[in-house]
Amino acid sequence: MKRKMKVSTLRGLVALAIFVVTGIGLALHTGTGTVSSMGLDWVASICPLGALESLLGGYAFIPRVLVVLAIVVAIVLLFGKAFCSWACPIPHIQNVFKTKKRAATEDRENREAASLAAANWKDGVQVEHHRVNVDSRHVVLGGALISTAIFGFPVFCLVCPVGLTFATFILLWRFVQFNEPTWGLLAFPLVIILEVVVLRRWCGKICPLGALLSLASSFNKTFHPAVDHDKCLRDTNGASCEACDLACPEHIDPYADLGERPLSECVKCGRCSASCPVKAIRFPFKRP
Amino acid sequence: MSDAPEDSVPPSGGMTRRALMGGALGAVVLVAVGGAGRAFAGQGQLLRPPGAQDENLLLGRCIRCDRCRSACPRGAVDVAHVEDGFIHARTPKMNFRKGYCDFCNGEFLCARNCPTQAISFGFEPATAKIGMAVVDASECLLYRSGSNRCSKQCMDACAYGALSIGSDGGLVVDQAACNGCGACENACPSSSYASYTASGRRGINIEAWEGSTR
Repeated sequence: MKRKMKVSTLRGLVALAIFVVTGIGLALHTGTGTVSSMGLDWVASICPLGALESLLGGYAFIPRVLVVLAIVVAIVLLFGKAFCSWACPIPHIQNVFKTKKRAATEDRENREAASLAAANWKDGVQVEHHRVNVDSRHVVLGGALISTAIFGFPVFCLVCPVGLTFATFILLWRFVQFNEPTWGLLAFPLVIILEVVVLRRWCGKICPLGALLSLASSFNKTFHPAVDHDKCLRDTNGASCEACDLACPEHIDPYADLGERPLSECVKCGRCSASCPVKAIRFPFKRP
Repeated sequence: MSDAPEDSVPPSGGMTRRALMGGALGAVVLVAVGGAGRAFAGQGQLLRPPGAQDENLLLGRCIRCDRCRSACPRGAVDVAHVEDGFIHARTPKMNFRKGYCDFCNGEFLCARNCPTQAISFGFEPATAKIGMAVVDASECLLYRSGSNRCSKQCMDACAYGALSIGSDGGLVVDQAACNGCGACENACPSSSYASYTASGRRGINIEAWEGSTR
């Protein structure tokens, strides 16, 4: 339990730190930017979806974008979809608006996914995940890129809940600093709420940024949760322990990748490791 | 054992019909958002940071990351709001009430910080223009109450010698010399404090200029 507190607190602090850095940029005019692009001068990260969109929307190859995009892809190859649980503000927003009913639904879905993974293990079913996992998010991603190419501007940026969260933060800041009211103060939060609270399954079913990350993450080999089979209760006494499967918000099976979704969707949140009753899952520094 | 409904257990990796339809719906919505963005772009041209005068290029590349606005040492780069048209929301626009553009003495920090080169290098202050200074005779104190009532801060502020006093005692803008840096609007005392008229305009304002799109 102690460790669980530590990892989840750390994740919250990292997400918060990005807002603090954004705030410092706002206060000191450092050009630090937001999570869409964060850095100093030309040394900066960039949202990979935004980068792709600006290539398509501007109908041109932009050398700077290609260089930065290559760096981001390298980061995803190394850390997988860690952005989703460590930097993205959306899960935190969803938590704030989570009703008891929603929490119960998620709990039920987690239990269903866990029992599916456990049944696969018990029955010795081999789950052949595709090399590259493709689902509804990738269709949305395709739509975003096609729309950007047709209309000549980064369309998804306009409604991106991550970008709009930071935009709302900036508008609030300016409202306080300059008393500058704008309809954006209402419109942006409304779009965010519609996308990620009303459409509860945003992250798993819709988010085109997650889709893009998952494509690159299919080739991620590092920082996977690693089960120590000398300790795991399934191996030591055949117990039908489902603790890690139950804890995984992505419906992955950390034990042997027998879950509803493949290991490439791992967001490196560390919940499986924290939930293991015998501390058999080493995360994030060891691999099987 | 597993009481999960069939559709929640897709053949792993493969796409179910339901996922395809759901995703297609999202894709269609995004195409509609793109069309609506263009259709309700709003009227009037916004003043863009130096190097972002090609409106199509700016809109095509800007990912609304806020770095140009944040980087501007003079606070002259502002952010457009939904009121400027939904497609323009969060893109950079110039606001000379808070500061003016000194082109960072050739550093162009907005362009340097732009991750997508939506603001490009190569703005030449001697020939290119952000906009054009336009005198508002109903606000300019030289017109309103005689030249002895204004100390002509705009003329002192202009680093390009673009402002002079005409034969009628009013302000004259040399359109060839003005590059729309906004120093005059920033310095103008009209529509502030005692001379406030609630029009929201100053005696001299930078306005969009046809020739500014290069």
